[in-house]
Amino acid sequence: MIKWGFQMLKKKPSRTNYSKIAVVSSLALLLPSSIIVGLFFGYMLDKWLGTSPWMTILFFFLGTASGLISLLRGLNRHKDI
Amino acid sequence: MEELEHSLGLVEFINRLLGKPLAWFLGIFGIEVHDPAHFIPDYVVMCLIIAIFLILFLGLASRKRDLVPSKLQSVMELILEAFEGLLVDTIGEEGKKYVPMIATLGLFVFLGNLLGLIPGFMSPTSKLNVTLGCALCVFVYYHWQGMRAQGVGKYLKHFMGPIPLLAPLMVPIELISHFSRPISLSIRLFGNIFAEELLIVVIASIIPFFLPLPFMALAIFTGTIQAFVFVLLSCIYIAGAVAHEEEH
Repeated sequence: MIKWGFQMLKKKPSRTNYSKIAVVSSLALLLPSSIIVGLFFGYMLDKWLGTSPWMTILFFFLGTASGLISLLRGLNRHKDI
Repeated sequence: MEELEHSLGLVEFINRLLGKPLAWFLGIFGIEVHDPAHFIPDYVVMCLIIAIFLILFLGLASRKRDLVPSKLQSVMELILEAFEGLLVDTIGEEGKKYVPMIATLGLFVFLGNLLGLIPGFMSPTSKLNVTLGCALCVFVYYHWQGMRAQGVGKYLKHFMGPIPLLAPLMVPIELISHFSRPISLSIRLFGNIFAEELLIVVIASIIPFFLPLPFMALAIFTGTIQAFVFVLLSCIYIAGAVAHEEEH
C-alpha cells in the first residue's frame, strides 16, 4: 500500500487523466467571471463619470470579448491533451 | 441555511479561551466587539489549525535533514518534488524558485478541502473569504514576479497587445481578463467545496448511516482535483507573467 502510494507520487502529475479533468474544468468559469468583472468596471465608471448607462453597456461587450479571448487562449494552451 | 449550521465544539472552546483577551486587545485599537464569547468565526479557527499542523509537520520533517532521508523526510521530499515537477513542466527550469509560494498554497488548499471530512471540523475553503484571500495572494504574487522578471515598463507594455493602433481596445480587455482571474479562481474553489459540504450535510440529515459514505469518497476526489486546479492555474498565471517571449 505504501509502495503504491510512493509510485503514484513519483509519477508526473501532468500526464494522468485527473489532470485532464482539472484542466478542462478550469476553463468553465472564464467567460462568466470576465463578463461580471466587465459589468462591474462599467458600473463603477458610470458612477464616477455620470454617463449612465453607456459605460456599462460598453464594458459588458468588452468583458464578453475578453472572456472569449481568454477562453480561446486557454484552449490553445491545452491543445495537446 | 442558518438552521443547518450548528457551532462546532472546537470553535466554541477557542472562542471561550481566546475571545475575551482578543476583544480586549482589539479594544486598544478602538474596535468594539459586541459579543466577545462568539466573535471568532469558525473558518479562522480552522485556518489556524491547518497552519499549526503544517508548521509542526514540516518542522518535524525538516528537523534532522540527512542525505539518507528518514521516512517523514522522504514523504515530504516526494510531495515537494511533485510541486517542483509541475512548475518545471509549465514554466521551465527557472520555475523552481516559485516552489515555496506554490507548495504552501497547494498544501493549505488541499488540507483545507479535506479537513471538512473529519467530523467536528469544517472546510475553511467552503467560505468565500478564505478562497478570495488565497486567490488575491496569487494575483499580487504573479504580478510582482512578472514585474521583477521583466521590469515594470516592459511588463506593463504587455497589456497593450502586439499592435499599437489597437491599444485603446486591448488595454481594457487585458485588464478585465486579469481581474477576472482571482474571481474565477476563488469562486471555483468556493463553489465546489461549499456544494460538496452542503450535499453531505443534506444527505446525512436524511439518512445518517452509510448513505453519506459514497459522497464523502467523492468529496476526497473533488477536494484533491480542486486543489490541483488551483495550483495548476497559479503556475500558468506565473508562467504567463514571467515569460520573456511574445506569446503568452
